[in-house]
Amino acid sequence: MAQADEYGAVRNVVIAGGGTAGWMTAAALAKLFGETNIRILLIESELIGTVGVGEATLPHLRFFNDTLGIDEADFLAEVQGTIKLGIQFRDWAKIGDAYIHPFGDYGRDIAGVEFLQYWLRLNKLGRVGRICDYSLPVMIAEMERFAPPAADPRAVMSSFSYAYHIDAGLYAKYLRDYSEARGVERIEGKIAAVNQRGGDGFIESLTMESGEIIGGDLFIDCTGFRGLLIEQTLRAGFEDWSENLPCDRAVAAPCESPGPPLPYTRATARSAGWQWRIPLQHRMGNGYVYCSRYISDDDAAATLGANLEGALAGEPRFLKFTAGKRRLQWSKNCVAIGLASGFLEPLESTSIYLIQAGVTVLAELFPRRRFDQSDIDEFNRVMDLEYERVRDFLVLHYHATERNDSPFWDYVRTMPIPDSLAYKMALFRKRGHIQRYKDGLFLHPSWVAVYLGQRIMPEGYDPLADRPAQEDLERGFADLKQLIARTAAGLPPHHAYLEGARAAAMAS
Amino acid sequence: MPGPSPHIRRILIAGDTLEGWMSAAFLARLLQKTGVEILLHPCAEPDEPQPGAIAALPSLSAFHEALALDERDIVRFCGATFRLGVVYAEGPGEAPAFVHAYSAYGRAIDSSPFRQHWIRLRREGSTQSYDSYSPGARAGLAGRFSHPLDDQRDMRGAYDYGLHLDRALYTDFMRRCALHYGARKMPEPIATVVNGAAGVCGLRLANDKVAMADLYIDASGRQAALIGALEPESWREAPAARRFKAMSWVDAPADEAPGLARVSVDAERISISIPLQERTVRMTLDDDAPVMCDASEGWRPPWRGNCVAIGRAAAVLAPLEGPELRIVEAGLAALRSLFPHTGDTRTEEAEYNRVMTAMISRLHDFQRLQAARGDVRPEKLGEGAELARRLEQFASRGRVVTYDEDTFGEESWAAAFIGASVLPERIHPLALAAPIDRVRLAAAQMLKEAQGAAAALPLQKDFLVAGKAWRNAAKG
Repeated sequence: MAQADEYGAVRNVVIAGGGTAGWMTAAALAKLFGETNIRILLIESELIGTVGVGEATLPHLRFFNDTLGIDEADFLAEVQGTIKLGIQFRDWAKIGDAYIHPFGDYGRDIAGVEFLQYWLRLNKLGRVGRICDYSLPVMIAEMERFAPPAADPRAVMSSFSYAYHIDAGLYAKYLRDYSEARGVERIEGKIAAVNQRGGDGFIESLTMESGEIIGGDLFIDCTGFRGLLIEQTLRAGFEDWSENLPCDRAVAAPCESPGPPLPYTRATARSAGWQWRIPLQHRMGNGYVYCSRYISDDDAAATLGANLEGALAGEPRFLKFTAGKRRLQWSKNCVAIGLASGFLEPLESTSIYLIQAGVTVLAELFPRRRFDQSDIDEFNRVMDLEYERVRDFLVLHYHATERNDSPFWDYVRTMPIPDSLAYKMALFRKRGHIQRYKDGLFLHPSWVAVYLGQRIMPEGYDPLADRPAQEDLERGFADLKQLIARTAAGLPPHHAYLEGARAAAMAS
Repeated sequence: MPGPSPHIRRILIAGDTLEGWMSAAFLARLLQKTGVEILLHPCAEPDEPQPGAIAALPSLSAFHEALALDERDIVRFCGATFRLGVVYAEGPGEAPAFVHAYSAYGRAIDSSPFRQHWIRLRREGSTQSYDSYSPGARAGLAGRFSHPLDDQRDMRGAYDYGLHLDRALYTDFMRRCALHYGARKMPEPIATVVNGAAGVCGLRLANDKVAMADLYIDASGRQAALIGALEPESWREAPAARRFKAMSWVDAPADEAPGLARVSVDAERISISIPLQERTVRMTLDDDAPVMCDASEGWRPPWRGNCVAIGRAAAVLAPLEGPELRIVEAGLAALRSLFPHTGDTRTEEAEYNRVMTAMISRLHDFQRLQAARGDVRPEKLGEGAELARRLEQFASRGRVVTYDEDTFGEESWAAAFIGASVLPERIHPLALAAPIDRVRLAAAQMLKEAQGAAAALPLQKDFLVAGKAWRNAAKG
């Protein structure tokens, strides 16, 4: 019986395309499947630009790096990385607004009632500060400090997590070195043709421009938006979400850093989209994500240029995209990972996360040469859910606005939204209730951060939050606020943490 | 003192049933010192007879904690035994005798779950049953029990437990708890329901007076006196390939080695035995046996307007794997999280019904798998995409699909599939990559630890006696 599994095992994995998608996939498969009899090949062309600009990430990436055995100090040094405690959103619900969506909890639930509910009670009476004041990661970020979280769940320093800002191109290079050291073969060149076998239409091989033919059992499409394998060959189809996420362009440019890096990303709403500000060690990554219906490429570039905090440090690059996902992320013997699988704008730093999710689920559902349809269907179900969760959360940022100062904002403010999101918003508006789900991104605190940050204030709240006496509650809140402020103020500056990491990397 | 809950000033509970008193206790404790009145009326129409024993899953401990109850009191006053899980007798077909325990089954090796390695060892000739790697299962089979250690990495801490309770004693216990927290038992039974467009307007009592409240809890059991009158068409028969019309039960002598409910499944009947301290209650689902109560299964959206059905008025499932108390406890927890603060509760109602219907249906799916043991095929399970997906994924490669509102986690579902004779066709290549000798060694170690953990525990009957002695000493 064991022999039959062996016989039917996938031996040759061909990854079409490099960049973060290709190399994260290669590195993970090399690490996880290194002990099995597997051969991994990655095809990339130096000539094809990868999208890589400064990128923000989610805490899940730390787990990815840990799984691969990557040391944080080495990693930060290689990718010019800085710490990310959350994202500051400016001018979204209203011009002048600013809120941070952090990686961490607000307060603690008491007697089975959520902290948010007590905050809503006090807020109605005008007896409480911003909810951010009860978030340790927000305070640490605003004070531009950082220290790693504590493990002890009773400590206030355990109430947050963190991620990174990275140069994605450098991360891809780093993972390339990692992968090649573990036996991944890299083939330089462009793919001229994708050859399917007769009968079932499975991909049999790729023909390079050089004429070389690369055969494989499992093909991973990391060729970016065009989806050379999954779309151009296998015609998986694309589900277009641009009605709800109308931005379809981005112009990106680096600039010099104006000062020490902030430990958070900034996303500033503009008249036809939003601008990102991603602090790296060596410079700042910037970009304007916009909707071409409402602003021209030239005007978008000009807007970006007018809003840089330092001198331009590289040529602006333009990108075109459509928000949405491949109808089938896995079709036949081809799995799309990264931009080939779909695109959601980087408003909540989900691009690298979706790569990681794809790689993780692929490893769980690793196929055999027969390619069982049950594996394919399950992969597509799980990844569809991941994409839909992110989509709904992103749409919330746009739709929950009071801005009426441009046609773009008028559109997103009034557009019809997915039923799943409308239902969630109605529940929150009624009483600040947020569903708890276990699969996919964005837990309870994330929804709290964005609802309140976007000025969605519930009409009512959980009546069970009325039970404690007013003075006791106010005192508890005041104590917590003080504890959080004191704890944050006691941490070293963010740049000190980075310096420590640099020193550790050089020493090793 | 706390502010008042502005909208709900009085809650009326229909039915002096187990779920009625659980609801009264829970709500009275929750709303203590808020001035909210909790009143319970019996129904004029008596509840159908119920078997004398009932199972509580580990999750009921959270309910008891919310009521500030000491588990030792419950065990002493309700004739209870500790429940480590359920043992299935062998059959039908090739299905082996098997224990579904609330427990780890072995441990992951190299990040692959143990079940992958177990399948491989089995193919290499091992005859160790999957449940022999479960400390909870081993303890249960040996009639041994003590509380698990806090450290779940240790086999002595890698199991959980519930309770087997005497229904009448537990109902009485809940009644006293409810009264202690300020609920009131009203003497006049409910004769009929006065309905309006928005829900219940009032309850006409036997003395012809009408009792009114801001929120009505229908705890009247299967008769669903309130919600059944509001929504007569809302009851849906449970999807199943096996249906029984009737259930009967009988008392049998006490189990000498309590710890597990005992179930046997065959072509004609399903029997479930629950061990209590003084006796065993043996329930049988069998259409040819005398009918003591209706066994048909189904559920309805529990919340309508100002009326929330808790317990059997919301859902009736066969007593396999302890659903009844779970449905009560989940219904009350969900009510607490969506407790009304205004008169318009449509938003809360929709979310409550979504969550409860999912929870009930997923619990029923687990039961269907167990009832189909030995011959688990899609056509034997009945309708439902979720259960079909779970079966497909496990049979294909041992992958366990889980959903929100699942009662049972990964270990339980994997155990249920394996115990029902559904073995994955494939072993994950990462599990296969581990050298077989290392896997054998690790598995042998786990077996030893599971054995050792169980053997170190006292016999449950001695453990219970020691508990009684404590009570007598405290009294004396």
